[in-house]
Amino acid sequence: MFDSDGCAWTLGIDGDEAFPTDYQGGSTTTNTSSILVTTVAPKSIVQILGYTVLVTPGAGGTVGFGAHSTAGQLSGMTFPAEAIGCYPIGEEGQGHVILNHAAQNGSNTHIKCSAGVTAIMHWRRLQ
Amino acid sequence: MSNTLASGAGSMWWGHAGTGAATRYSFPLSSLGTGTTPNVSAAVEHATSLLYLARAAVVYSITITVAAAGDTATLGLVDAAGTFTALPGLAFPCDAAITWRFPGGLRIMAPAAATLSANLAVKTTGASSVTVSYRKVA
Repeated sequence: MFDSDGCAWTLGIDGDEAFPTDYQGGSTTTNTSSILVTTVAPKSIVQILGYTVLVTPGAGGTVGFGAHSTAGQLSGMTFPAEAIGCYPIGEEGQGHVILNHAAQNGSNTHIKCSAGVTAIMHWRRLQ
Repeated sequence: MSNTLASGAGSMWWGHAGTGAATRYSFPLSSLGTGTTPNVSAAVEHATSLLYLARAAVVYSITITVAAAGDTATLGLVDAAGTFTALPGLAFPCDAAITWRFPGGLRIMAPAAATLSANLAVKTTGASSVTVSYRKVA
């Protein structure tokens, strides 16, 4: 899936849940607890390529990704954000794929940063 | 591979040199990476950018070549009037000489506003220098 076209991005800020408002390239981000603003839902397949930590309080900082519904997000998709830098995830940096999730709202992908963390979710919609 | 450049051909780059306390902008002027302009406030400089009227560009990495504590390298777009508009949240700390290597590449699309293209520029407000690796894809 890697090519020269790059991938979309969404900015997560300080304890908020941030949802993409487009899937073309992502300079627009809305931080909200509402699931209604995202355009990456439902019934899509999303590849999370990695994340970039821009601001962190240090120890204990985390960033998480996943589908979202009123019931919550994918469990276990939480990563450390204790130091600034770029962090590819998955096999050879090819990321994790989030498939349609029967118990949640498709691949309603978002990023959630712990308090004090600002980070970018690098992602791509596959379907 | 939808890009006209063959895979493995490498990306373009431009260098940006900060000047201490002064805010400084730059954007790519040359495919050789030597084209750094000190200020994009003038429309005539804007029009000379290699990314003028681009619809999409990808930033693969930003290398902090000269670190400056407290400084940030902010990515933005420049409109036809030469005004720099920061992309939301894309301000990278320059406290250490590191490379921000973005997973998958950071795609920047031209905004809907007719006055803006994906005309990338970078801004620092301190003494840091950076190199931006990028490619125009549309």
